[in-house]
Amino acid sequence: MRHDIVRIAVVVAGLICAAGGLALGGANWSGQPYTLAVPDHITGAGQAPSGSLVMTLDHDTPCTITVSVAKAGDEVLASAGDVLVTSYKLTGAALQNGDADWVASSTFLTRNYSVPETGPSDGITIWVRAAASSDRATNAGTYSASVILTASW
Amino acid sequence: MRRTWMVLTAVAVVLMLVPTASAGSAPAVVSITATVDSFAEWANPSPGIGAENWTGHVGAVNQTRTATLALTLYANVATTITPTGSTNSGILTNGAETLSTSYQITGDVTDPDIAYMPAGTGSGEFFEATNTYTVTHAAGDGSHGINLLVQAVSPDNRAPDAGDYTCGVTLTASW
Repeated sequence: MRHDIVRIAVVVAGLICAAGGLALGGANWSGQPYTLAVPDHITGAGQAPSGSLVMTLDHDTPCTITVSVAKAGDEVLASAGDVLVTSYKLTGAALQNGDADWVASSTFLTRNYSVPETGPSDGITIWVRAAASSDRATNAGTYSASVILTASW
Repeated sequence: MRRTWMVLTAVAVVLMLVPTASAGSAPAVVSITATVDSFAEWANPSPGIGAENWTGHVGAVNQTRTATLALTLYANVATTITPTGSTNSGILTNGAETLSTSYQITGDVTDPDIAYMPAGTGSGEFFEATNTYTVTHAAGDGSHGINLLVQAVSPDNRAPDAGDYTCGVTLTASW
């Protein structure tokens, strides 16, 4: 009897260990919060500087990245009623359908990016381009925008 | 019996422990900033007034001809425009011959000229150091129309040499 209990305990322990070694499917962005400051300032009409930020996606399952905003218009760089024409790109070796060209901010919100592999850790780069009007001086100031990248599985 | 019980127990435990793949999502908020500095610049930094822009050629003594150059200043800050004479000191010149030359600034400046001012740096002249023009700025108004008017008058006591008369003016926008 005592031997049986010991055997059961050993088997259960082994199963627990084996089960513990199985990864739970999922994904997570590490290194948050993410802030992207376009490095070059706009100092003339028609200028369009850009910047990028590498985000780390930890995942052990294929997933899809979608783009959204907390409230309408958040995707456009704005400051006190003035705006910059805002474009985006999402790139990275892990993306099956990364962007080759700039995507208008409104279009960016409709994009779905496929991450077909299982990681475990992939760099996803978000690019933003801020374009000033070419027929006037855009108001001086700091322009802000915000987008939400959601990895779903 | 004992072995069967043990196997059943093990299977039950495995069923409890095997993870189930469930759907989920992980959001990341990306905050983005870009900066626009204060600046002013001319839409066309090298404009010109050609022979075709004048009201006509000079064809007589004491004859007045004028031309207007419409300029656009892009500015997102209050700006001061300072005129200076460049080529031929801003006086229409053909060799040793000159035409009486004078200027006005009008348009989106706070105090536009209402009369021509002679080219020159003396008191009351167009290129006098204190002769500046202010362009005010309101948020959202980043384009300002500025007109440079030039007047040429031929001498009243002789015919000036025939030919093209040239000069240059620099309008410097500073803030």
